[in-house]
Formats: sequence, structure tokens, C-alpha cells
Amino acid sequence: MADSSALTIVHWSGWIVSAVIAIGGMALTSLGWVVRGRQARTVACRQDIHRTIDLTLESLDKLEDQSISFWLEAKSTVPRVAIIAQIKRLTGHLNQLKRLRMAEQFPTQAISAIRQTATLDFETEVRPISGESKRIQKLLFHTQKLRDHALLQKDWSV
Amino acid sequence: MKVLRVADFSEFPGPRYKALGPDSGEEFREDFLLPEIKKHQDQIQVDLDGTFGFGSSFLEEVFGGLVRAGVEPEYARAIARNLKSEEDPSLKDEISSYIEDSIEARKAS
Repeated sequence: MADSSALTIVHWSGWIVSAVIAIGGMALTSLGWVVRGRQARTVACRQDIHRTIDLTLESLDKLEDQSISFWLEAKSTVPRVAIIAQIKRLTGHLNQLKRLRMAEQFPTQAISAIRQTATLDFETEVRPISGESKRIQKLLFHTQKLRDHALLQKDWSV
Repeated sequence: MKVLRVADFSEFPGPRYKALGPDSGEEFREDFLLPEIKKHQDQIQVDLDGTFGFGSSFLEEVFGGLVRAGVEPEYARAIARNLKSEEDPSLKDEISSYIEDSIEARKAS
């Protein structure tokens, strides 16, 4: 009788240990998948942010080049509408970046200053202007300020 | 509050003056904004979203031009505060600066 109950206990305890090991294994595997999933999301999000930063900087470079050509070259082929379109593209990328980064502010002052230096009175002012003019200096100053903005800095620490 | 969408005036806002081309800032101010201001004594919200984009000349002529056209400074400031511009939040700051410059110029003259 005693032997039989001892056997039952051994049988059940073996079963319980196996079950605990199996459940623990499953829990650890699930935890591993959750951690992996989070890491993959973080990496994907960072890649999206970096890609959008690249697009924004390309857009900004193009806007700077077009504006300089428009104002400095006597026979510039850049139409006014191309500068407006490029500003629109740039603000679109910045909006996307702001949504991706969430915490960062939209660089309102820099964009406003760039638009002003590139397009204020661009229908009426006599061109070409001097490369040393205040307009060109301000344009280069504000485009660089935008490049230095926190929103456009790449970060690998996340 | 009356909402005035610039995109209903034109999806392609043009130059500063009527003489320079279609859909100008002068045209928007004279033929759309000022009549609405006269009609609706309460506040007006100008919605800047949905257009191709703006040159600064258009913006200056519309909003700086409001003060030059005799609109009270506080009313012009309220229009700047009520602007809707989700696509480009920088437009609000720029427009406010044109209104303030016009107010300063009016005081000085």
C-alpha cells in the first residue's frame, strides 16, 4: 500500500516537473518573441526616421540650389513655381519627420525665414543680385540653421 | 466663426499684385477677404491648407495689406491667431510678422 502511494507521488511529481519546464519554456520563448518584436519595431522606426531625414536634407539642398540659381544667374531656368513647390516638399518631409519623432518641434522660424529670403518680392525685384547680398547671406544662414535643427539630427542611441 | 479657405479662391496662389498675374494676394485680399470681413463682424478664420504653396509676396500682400487697407490692428492680429495651417505651421509666424511690420509702419507714418 505504501509502495503504491510512493509510486503515485513519484509519477505525479515527475509529471508536474515536466509541465513546469514546458510552461516555463513556452513563457521564455514568448518573452523572447516580444523583446525581438520590440527591437525590430525600434530598428524599423529608426530606419524610417533616418530615411526621412535624408529626404528632407536632399529637399533642402535642392531648394538652396534652386534659390541661388534663381537669384544669382542672369539666365536661370528655375521658375518661381519650382521654388514654391520645393518649399512645399520640404515642409511635407518635416511634418512626416515630426510625426515619426513625436517629441521634436516643427522648425517654424527656419522655414519661415527660408521662404521669406527665397520668395519675398521674387516677382518684382531686379535680378540677378550680387552673391554678397544680404538675401543670399540670409538664405545660406537659415538653410544651415535648419540643417542643424534637432529634428534633422540622426540618433542611434534608441 | 466664418471659415475662408484660400484653396477655394485658388489652389495655386499667385504673385503679389493683380497686375503681375492671376490669383494674386491683392486679388484675394480685395475681392475675398475684405468683403468677408465687412460682412462678418465677428472673427474670420483663414484656412491656408490645401493649396500648392505660397510665395511670401502673396502672404505679405494679403495680411500686411490688411493693415495698410485700414483694418484695425487688433482685428488683423486676431486673424493671424485664428489662422489654420496644419500643413505648414511656419506660415502663422510669418504672417504675424508681416502684420506687426505693417502696424509698425502705420504708426511711423
